[in-house]
Amino acid sequence: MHEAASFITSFFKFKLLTRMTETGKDIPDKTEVQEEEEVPRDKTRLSDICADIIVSEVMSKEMTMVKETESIENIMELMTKTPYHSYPVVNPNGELVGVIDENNILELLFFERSNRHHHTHLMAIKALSEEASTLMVHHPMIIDPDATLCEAADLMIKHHIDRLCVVKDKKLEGVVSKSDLIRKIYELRG
Amino acid sequence: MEAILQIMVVLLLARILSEVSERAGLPGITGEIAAGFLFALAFRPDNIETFTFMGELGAIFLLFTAGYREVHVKDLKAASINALIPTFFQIFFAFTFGFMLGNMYGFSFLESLFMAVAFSPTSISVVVKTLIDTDYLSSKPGSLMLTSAIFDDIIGLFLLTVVISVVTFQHLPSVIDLLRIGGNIMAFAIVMAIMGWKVFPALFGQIQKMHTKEALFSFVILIALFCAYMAEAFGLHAVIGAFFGGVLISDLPIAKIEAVQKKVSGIAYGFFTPLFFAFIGLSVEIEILYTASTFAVLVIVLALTGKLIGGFIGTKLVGYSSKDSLIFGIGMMPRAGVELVVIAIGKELGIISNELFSAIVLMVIVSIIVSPILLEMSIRYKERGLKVPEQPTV
Repeated sequence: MHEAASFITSFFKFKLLTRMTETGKDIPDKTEVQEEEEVPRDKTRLSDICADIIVSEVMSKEMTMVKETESIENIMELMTKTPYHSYPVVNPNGELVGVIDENNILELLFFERSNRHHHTHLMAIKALSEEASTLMVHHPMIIDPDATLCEAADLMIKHHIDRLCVVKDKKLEGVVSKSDLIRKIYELRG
Repeated sequence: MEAILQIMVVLLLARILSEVSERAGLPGITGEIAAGFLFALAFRPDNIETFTFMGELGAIFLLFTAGYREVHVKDLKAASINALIPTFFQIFFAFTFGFMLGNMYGFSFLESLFMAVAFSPTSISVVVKTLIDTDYLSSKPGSLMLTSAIFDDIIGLFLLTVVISVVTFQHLPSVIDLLRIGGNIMAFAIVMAIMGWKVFPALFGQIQKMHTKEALFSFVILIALFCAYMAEAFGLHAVIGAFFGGVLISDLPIAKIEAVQKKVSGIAYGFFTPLFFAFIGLSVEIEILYTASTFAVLVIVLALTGKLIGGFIGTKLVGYSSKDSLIFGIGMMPRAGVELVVIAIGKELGIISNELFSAIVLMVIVSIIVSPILLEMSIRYKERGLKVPEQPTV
């Protein structure tokens, strides 16, 4: 993670240098894909932009969420029908109360097979879950809709988090994932 | 140099023996205790200062991780009133049996009290495997066991808190002393509540932006040590603070991200807690057990039957059948983590004799081995009854 960060900074410096030496060729030629890979993109531009974009512009608003009282059976069915790996869990007021992902379900299904040291008290209680509220992780990583894309990316890279729930006043507004960020940056590059 | 060699040998032994006991179908902790015991037998180390210190840290980490990873404040709220009566009875009986035994043998008030506290908690995880294998996890007594065990550690730690506070007086505390103890506990609780409510969330908000290597992990550990220290400052024991520190950050998203949890679990279960259990094993003196065998047997019998009888009566009172009540009572018998921490503290404070310490360690090991077997037998006994059609379960 540390190496990655220093790589990015050196990459940015390099960009800055090339920009200063080159004449302001800001818009890259779309057809010259090969060349784009060799000559790094304009850094100043990307970092400026990422600080200007806020999470609410990037997040997916049409996420699939799950009710607190949803049965595990239904969640499994939902998982087979949708392409997501994790699902926000909301209470009747639309407030985010947790998140449930494939790992939770797998741990539940294979609880009996798991190693003895997984047979803890808490896991046993979870294994008896019939609905989302008892199985879910109660402390999902959240981010403010007004946070910048840079902040979201920092969180994801630093703490190995795949997706963040976007929450304002406890209400779930959307989900932002690594692929949302990549998509946005890709779009910006044209 | 000596210290490094000791830690290395003990950790290695603990890992190997823990593996052996896992393969034999027992929890790893029995192997870890055995490792310390064998180490003491084989090497007769005379300077164990570093090892002792590591063991103390191990107790802190054991309870910190218990709070951090295993306790769910929301489960506590959800636990039904129904579970309260059986829980009260099983703890009350175990506690009373411990205290009575102490009185019978003419122990001091404090030593009897410590024994009573050491009798009180249950380590339910020892029998979870049995419940799974017999498909009884989701049965009525099975889920009651799980609910009841939620309170167990907390009540055990609360009792420990009170007892340790009483210890500082060396005599039966007067009303003013009791008020002062209550005040201390309250003050500690208030400070911790403010920390958990405002300070820690704000702190972690900043920590997540830090650039220093492993800042987040460091601060999780720092919280454990800070809360442990705070508890001592209020006249309680470090382990109690560590436990509540863990509980306080257990619902903080940033402190609980997978990557950090794995590191905490690694340093706790991979290094410190095996050393704690080994330290327990090392402190057992087998010679004493020979001379006090009747006493050791009584400790084992009363500790186990206290839970059994209390659990049975309590469950009967809330309307369970006799067989289900029996299953519940047996399920409450295993002891492992907190009880060992209790006696380690008692020994450290010089209240518990070596005789009592060794007897309780033996009790823990016996309970770990015996409870799953008895539980399975009681479940089979119930199943056999069920095969006869229309057999009324009274």
